[in-house]
Parts: sequence; structure tokens; C-alpha cells
Amino acid sequence: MYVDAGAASDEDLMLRYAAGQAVAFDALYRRHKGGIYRYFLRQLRDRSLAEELFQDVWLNLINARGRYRVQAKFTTWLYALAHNRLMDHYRRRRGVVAISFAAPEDEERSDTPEPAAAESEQPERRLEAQRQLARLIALVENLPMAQREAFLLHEEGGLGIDEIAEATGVNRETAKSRLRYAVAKLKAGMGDCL
Amino acid sequence: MTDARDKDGELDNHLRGGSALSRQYGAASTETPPAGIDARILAAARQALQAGPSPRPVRKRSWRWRVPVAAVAAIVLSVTLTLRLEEQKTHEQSVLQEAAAPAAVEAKRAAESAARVVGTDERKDRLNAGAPPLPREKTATPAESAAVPAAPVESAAGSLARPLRDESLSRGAEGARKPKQELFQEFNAPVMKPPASPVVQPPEFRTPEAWLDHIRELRKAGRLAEAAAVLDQFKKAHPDYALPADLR
Repeated sequence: MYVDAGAASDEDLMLRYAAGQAVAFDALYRRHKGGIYRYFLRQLRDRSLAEELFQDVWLNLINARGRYRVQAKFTTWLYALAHNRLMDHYRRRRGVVAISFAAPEDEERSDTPEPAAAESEQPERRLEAQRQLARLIALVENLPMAQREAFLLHEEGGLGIDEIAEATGVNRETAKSRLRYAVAKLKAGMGDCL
Repeated sequence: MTDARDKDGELDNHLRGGSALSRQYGAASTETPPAGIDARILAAARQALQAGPSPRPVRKRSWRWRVPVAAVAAIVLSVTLTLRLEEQKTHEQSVLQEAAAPAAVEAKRAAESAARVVGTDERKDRLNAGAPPLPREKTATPAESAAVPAAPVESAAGSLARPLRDESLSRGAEGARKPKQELFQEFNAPVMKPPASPVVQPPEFRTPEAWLDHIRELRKAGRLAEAAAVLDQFKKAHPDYALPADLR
């Protein structure tokens, strides 16, 4: 059966999959597998664990296909599944959530690593670019957990403030605050490189 | 203030997309899941479709009834408890009344007999003379009687020895003022018959002879019933005493 993956919306693809079209799932998976995978990879900083949770989310989606209703953006629902799976994981490893998510939202805690000293002397531009990218990833991974999540939901899932709030179960102001601090810290960390 | 506005502007710019940070992150963040995982997930998606429609949430129907059922259960429970409490209260009251009733009856009987024998000469005389009877002494009302605890009650014989004052009545009134709990405790206390009160020689008669003289005086005065009663009492107090011939 032909599915115009390029034109169909996520919601449409999900409904088609629920109705029995496997190809709709293929298209959906191709669109979002990278974002979900990197969301876990940045959050957990453990590849095998990220892969495990990544698979769980997609299997949850497969099992939940009969209950799917278009009430919000598909990505909001998908990333809410991912967020919930991550929270489950943290709950099982007690303490992690308590430390990172219970921290005040607006605290200006600087637990980001000091950016590496500028190495402007490096002659090779390509290598320099790679280093900058690695530095940005390191900065993202070292953001406070809630701020990191807000940033990843926006960058990987394309979620706006309201959608981040919905996916993570917080109010709009909290979500906005988290994202604002994340962006500010990353910009500060990257300095002149941006 | 300016700083906050700058940060908001920075965020708005970032949210609109195309910020240097977003571009750079997009360039850096390119990891994808291994092909093996892709294959596994896609296979699972197809398998799920072959297995049939996804299981419907079974719990939903029962969940819909959970709140009303809980509310009904709570109402039934509270009504039952209230009814049981009322029942218990009624039972407690009836038990108290039952406990107080025998004591009250006995006290009333004692009072009546004492009044008849000792303290009611005047009434008797009036009755004998055909005059209207004096108003009876106030006896305990049912309510007062009910409140009388199961306190040791004087035997009729004991009551004969001295005139009945309003002591038992006042005791009844005291009983009525007693807290219910106290009465209940008294009721629950092991039932003990009061020891038979020994017939004691009244203090005004220092010797048996004086007592006998009193009986003779009563007889002379025509108060025969009273004389007989006092004689009975004397016999009980002095069972071995050889009565003079005129009093046998």
C-alpha cells in the first residue's frame, strides 16, 4: 500500500498504522528515530542504556496504537512517552530525579564544565570545527537535567514552549524558564564560537 | 530588567529557529540508532499488526464505575454505623433502667412497710377514726427510681427499727444526678447480696428490760401492731431471752 510519507502528517501516519498499515509506521519511525535516540543519548550519556530505553519507547508506541487519539501534536505525545520512560528509569535508580529535578528552576547553578581553553593555534579548521561541536555536546550533556531536557525537546523534537510543558508535565513558565537558562548557558559556554 | 529582556529576546530568537546555537547543535548531533535496533523495531511493528488489533484498555469500563461504587459504599457504611450507634445507645439506656428497677421497687417496698409500722401512727389513727388519709409521703417517681443504683437496700426488718426519713428518697435524687457511666459501672459490678443486717438493740434501750418496758407501753397505748413488731425485733435481737409471761 502506498503511503506518501513526505506529505502525510505524523498524526495521519500514526492513525494509519493503528488501522493496520505497517508502512505508515516505517515512515513515522524514520522521521523520529534520530531525535528520540539522541534525546536518550544526551540524557543518559550511556549508549547501551539509551538504546534500551529507545526501544522501550517505540514498543510502547506500538502497543498503544489502539488508544491513540489526535488530541495534541504527535511529537508531543511521542516525547511524553520518552520523558515518562526516562522518569521510570530514574525512579528505579533512586536519587537521580530527586537531585536534578527537584532543584530550583531558576537557580543559576553553574555545573556546566568550564569550556576548554580556546585552541586558536590549531591550524586545521576542520579539526577546530569538530572540537567546537564536541564542546557544544559536552555543554549540553552537562546542563542541569531539566534544562537539558527542555533544550533537547526543542532541538530534537521540535517542540515549542507549550509542548515542552505538556510533555514534561510542568507549567508554561517553568518550561520557558528551563529553556531560557539552557540557551543562555550554552551560549555563554560557547563564547565566540557561536 | 534589561538583562531579563535580553534573555527573553535571545530565547525568542532561538525558538524561531535558525539561531547559531541550533545550527551548530544540529551539525553536531547526528547519531542514529544502530541498524539492528531499527530492524528489530520495524519487525515488532509488523508483528503487532499481524497479531491483531492492539489490546483495548480493559480497565476503563471498571474504572468508570469505581467512583460511584466507592461513594455508595461510603454512604452505606456511614448509615450502618450511625444506626448501630443509635441501637447501642438505646440498649444501654434499657439496661440501665432494668438495673435500677429492682432496687427502686425494693426501696419503695421498704419505705411503705416502714411507714406502715413505724412512722405512720398518725395516719393509722386517722384511718381508724374514718378520717381522710393524710397525703402519702412522696415516693420515688419512675424516673427517680430508675436512677437509683443497686445500692444495698435495707431490709424491711431493719427499716422497722427507725423511722423512715427521706433518706432513701434523697439517695434516689443523688442517684439521678449520678453520671450515667457511674451507674453503668455499678450495674456491671458483681452482684452481691447485702449481708443480712443483724438486729441490733436500739440505743435508747440500754437493757432488754427497758426495751420490754417500751413494748408494754405501746400495748398500753393501744398501738398493738407496733408493739408486736417491736417485740419481733426484740426476739430477733435476744433469741435466748426468757420473755416475761405478759409478753409471750
